[in-house]
Amino acid sequence: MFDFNILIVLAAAAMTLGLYSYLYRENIFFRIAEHAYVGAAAGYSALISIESAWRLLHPHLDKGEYYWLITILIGLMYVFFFTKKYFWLYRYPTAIVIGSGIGVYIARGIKTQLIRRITDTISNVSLSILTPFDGAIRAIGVISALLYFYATMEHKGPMQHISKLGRYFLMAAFGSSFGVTIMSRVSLFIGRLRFLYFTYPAQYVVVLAVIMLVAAIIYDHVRKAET
Amino acid sequence: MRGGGWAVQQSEKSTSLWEKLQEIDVRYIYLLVWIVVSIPILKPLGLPLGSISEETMLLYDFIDHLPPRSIVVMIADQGPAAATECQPGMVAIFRHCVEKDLRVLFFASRTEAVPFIEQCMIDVLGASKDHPDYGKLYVNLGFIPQYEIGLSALAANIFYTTTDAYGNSLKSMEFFKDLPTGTAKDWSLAIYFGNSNVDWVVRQVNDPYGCPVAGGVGAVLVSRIYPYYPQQVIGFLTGLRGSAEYEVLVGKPGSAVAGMDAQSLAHLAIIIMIIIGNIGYFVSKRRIGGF
Repeated sequence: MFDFNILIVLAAAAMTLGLYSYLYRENIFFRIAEHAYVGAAAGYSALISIESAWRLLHPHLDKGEYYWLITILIGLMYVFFFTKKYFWLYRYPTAIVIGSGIGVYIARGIKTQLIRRITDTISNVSLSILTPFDGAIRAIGVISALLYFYATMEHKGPMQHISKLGRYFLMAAFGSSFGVTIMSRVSLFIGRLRFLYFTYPAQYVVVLAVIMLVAAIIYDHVRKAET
Repeated sequence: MRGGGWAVQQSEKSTSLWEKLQEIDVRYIYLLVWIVVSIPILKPLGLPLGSISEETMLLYDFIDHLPPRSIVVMIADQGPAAATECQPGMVAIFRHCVEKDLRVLFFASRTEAVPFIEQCMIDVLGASKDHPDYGKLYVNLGFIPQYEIGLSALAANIFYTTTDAYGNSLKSMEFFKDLPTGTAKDWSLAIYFGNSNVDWVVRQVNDPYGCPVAGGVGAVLVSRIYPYYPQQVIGFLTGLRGSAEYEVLVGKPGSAVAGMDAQSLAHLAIIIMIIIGNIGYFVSKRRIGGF
C-alpha cells in the first residue's frame, strides 16, 4: 500500500530546496514554493483559528448561553474589509481587538517595562559590590546610552564624549543582536539540512536539486560566453 | 562581495588580493556555508560542548527543586522557523518535568505551534491524549488566540478555555482538582518557547501573580530577554546551544547536541569571513587614501 508520508516528505524537501534556490537566482521553483508556503500557512492558520473559536464557544452554547454568538457576528464583520460600501463595519472588530489589547498591555506594561526596569537597573548596579567591574559597565552603559538620546542640550564638551561613548554601547548592543540573529538563522539551516539528509526519501530530491543547479550554472555560463 | 564595499565603489580597477576578495560573488559564500554545515552533519566531529551556561543551569536547578505535582505552564510560540532551536529544549524540559512528577499544562499562542506540542508529548511519553497520565499530570489546551489577551484571561481563570485541545472538560480532570485559587498564583513556573517576544508573558504572569517566568528561546530573542534576567525571568535556554545544554543535563542527547558541531563550524567560517572582509576593507581604503 502506498505510504502517504513519502509524498509529504518529498513535497517538504522540494519546497525547502525551491525556497533555497533563490540564493542562486530568482526562478520559477522559488516562486511556486513561496506562493505555496504563503497559501498553506494562511489556510492552516484559518483552520486552527476557526476550530479553536468553536472549541471556546460551544460549551457556552451547550449551556443555552446563545448571547455568545454575538462574538461570531463581530468576527464576521472583518469580511467587510473587502467591500467599499460597508468598509466602516470592519472598523468595529478592529477597534475591539486593538482596544482590548492596549487595555491589557497598559494595565501591566507601565509597571513591568518602565518601573521594574528602572528599579532593577539601580539594584543591579548597587548590588555589584562583589563584581564592581560589571556594575561600573552597567552604570556607565545605561547613563551614556540615555544621554546619547538627550536632545535638549547641545552635545559639546564633556557631553560630546559621553554621548559618543553611549553610541559605542548602542553599537555593541546592536552588534550582539545581529550576531545572535545569525546564530538563529544558522540553526534553522542546520535543521533543514538534517531533514534533507536524514529523512527518507528527501535525499533523492537533494541529488536532483544538485543536478539541476549544476545544469543551471553550465547553462548560464554558456549563455554568458555567447553574449 | 559583488556590489558591496566602499572601496569597490571608489575604484574601477581592482588589483590587490584584498580588493578581489571583496568582489567575490556572494553565491560562493553561500556554497561555502552549505559545505561547512554539511560536513559535520554527515560526519559528526564530536566537538566538546564546553561548560553549561549560568542561564541554563539556573533553570535546570529551579525545575529540579520544584516539589512533585507543581504546575509548570509551557507556552508554545515556535513556528517552523524557530522549531529547530526551541523544540529540542521544550522536549528536554518536558522530559525533566515528567521525571520530577510535575504537572505540565501546554498551550499554543500561535497556530503553527499546535503540532509541536503534540510532537513534544509523543517524543517523551510515546503518546499524547491517550497516555494514562493525560488529564492527571499533563494537559494540552491547544491554541489560545490573541497572545496577551488570551494569556491574561487564562492567568485570571485557568478554566477560561472550558475544554482541552481534544474537547474534554477541564473541570472533570484530576489535574485541576486541588487548585487553591484557579489563577496563575497556582503556577510554579511559566516557560515561553519561541523567538518573537517574551515581554507579554512577564507582563501578564510575573508581575500580577508572582509566577516565575523562564524561556526556551531562539537566539534572536536573547538580547530582549536579558533585561528581565534574573529577577523576573529566572533562567532561559539560548537557541540551539541552550537546548543542547539541557539535553546534556537531562542525560538524553538529541537533535540539538547533534547540531552543535555544524553550528560551531558555521560560526567559525562566518567569523573568518568577517575578519577577512574587514581586513580587505581597511587595506583597500588605505590604498585609496582613506586614512
